[in-house]
Amino acid sequence: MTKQEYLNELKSELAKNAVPDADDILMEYEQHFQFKLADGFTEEEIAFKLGSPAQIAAQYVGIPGEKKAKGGKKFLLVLWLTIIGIIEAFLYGAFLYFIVALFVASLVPAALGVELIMGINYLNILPPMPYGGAIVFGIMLLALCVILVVFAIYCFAYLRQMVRASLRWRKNLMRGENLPLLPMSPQFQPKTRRTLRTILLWAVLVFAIAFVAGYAILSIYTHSFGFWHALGWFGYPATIH
Amino acid sequence: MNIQYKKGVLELCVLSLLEKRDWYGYEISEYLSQKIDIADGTVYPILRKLKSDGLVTTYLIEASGGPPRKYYSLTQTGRELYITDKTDYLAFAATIQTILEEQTI
Repeated sequence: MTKQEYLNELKSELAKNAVPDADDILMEYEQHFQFKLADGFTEEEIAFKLGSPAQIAAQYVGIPGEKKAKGGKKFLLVLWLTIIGIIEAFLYGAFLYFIVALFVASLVPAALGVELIMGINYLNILPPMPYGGAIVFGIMLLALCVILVVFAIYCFAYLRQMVRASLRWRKNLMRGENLPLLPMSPQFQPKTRRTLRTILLWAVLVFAIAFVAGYAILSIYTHSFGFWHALGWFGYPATIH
Repeated sequence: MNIQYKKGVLELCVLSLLEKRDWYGYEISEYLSQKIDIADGTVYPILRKLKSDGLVTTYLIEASGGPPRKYYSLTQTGRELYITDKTDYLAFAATIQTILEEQTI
């Protein structure tokens, strides 16, 4: 069988079996002939080694044709994804700014807490109070810093997962792949998740205890529940020094 | 050897080759038909099936002195499927070997 005879027979066998994309398939076998001819085989040898056209055609039965996205459809898809992408980018950008702000904001209680604990008052921004109250409020502020940092980490993980899920969804749409969609919630390793949760719980606990204790200490010290009056905070005249 | 045995594992062999690097169709056909006694034309339907199942993607590269080569590349899905199929097959083959080599029970 010559190359042309083989291809003709394959073509009619494919048509007989209603195999889709027959032109593509024929092209593949024609190229096989070309490669083999270049290696010095004769058309008869190549046709014999390929196997009979009927057998080959039978192996294509049941394979669905390729879904080729039409040019216009593809263009609409890209346009649509671009529009959504711009909106998404704004949301993610705003979220990212928020997260950065959280990280920066967490530095403030940290700095104030360290000042209170070390008994210094750099730039004179802290109200006067006895050291017994200051150290407890210092601890409270450090706990607040930890809470903010953990919250920021959660937010960042959430943002990252959202971006990943969005990219996966786009990839599936654009390339016609069927990768599993990703969940939106942050995916921590179980160990990381447990650690973060433990840190957060302890920080909240320390914050609450220190707040109550600090309030109590200063109230006892000044004999007043509104201790800030007695200590002369916020411009009140101090009655205790 | 019985043709039915070979057909089943041919798909796994193709995935295995593609896991290492991208191949073009003729290359795979040549490689496998040298090692396994199959008709040269058998590999192309397998490649087409893998593509329609979303396990591989294709891209064309112009080659000097010959038709453009259609390269096949494993997708993430294909890679994941290959890993599980490979494990399954090796366990299966090991079991069969034990059974075949048993002298007495």
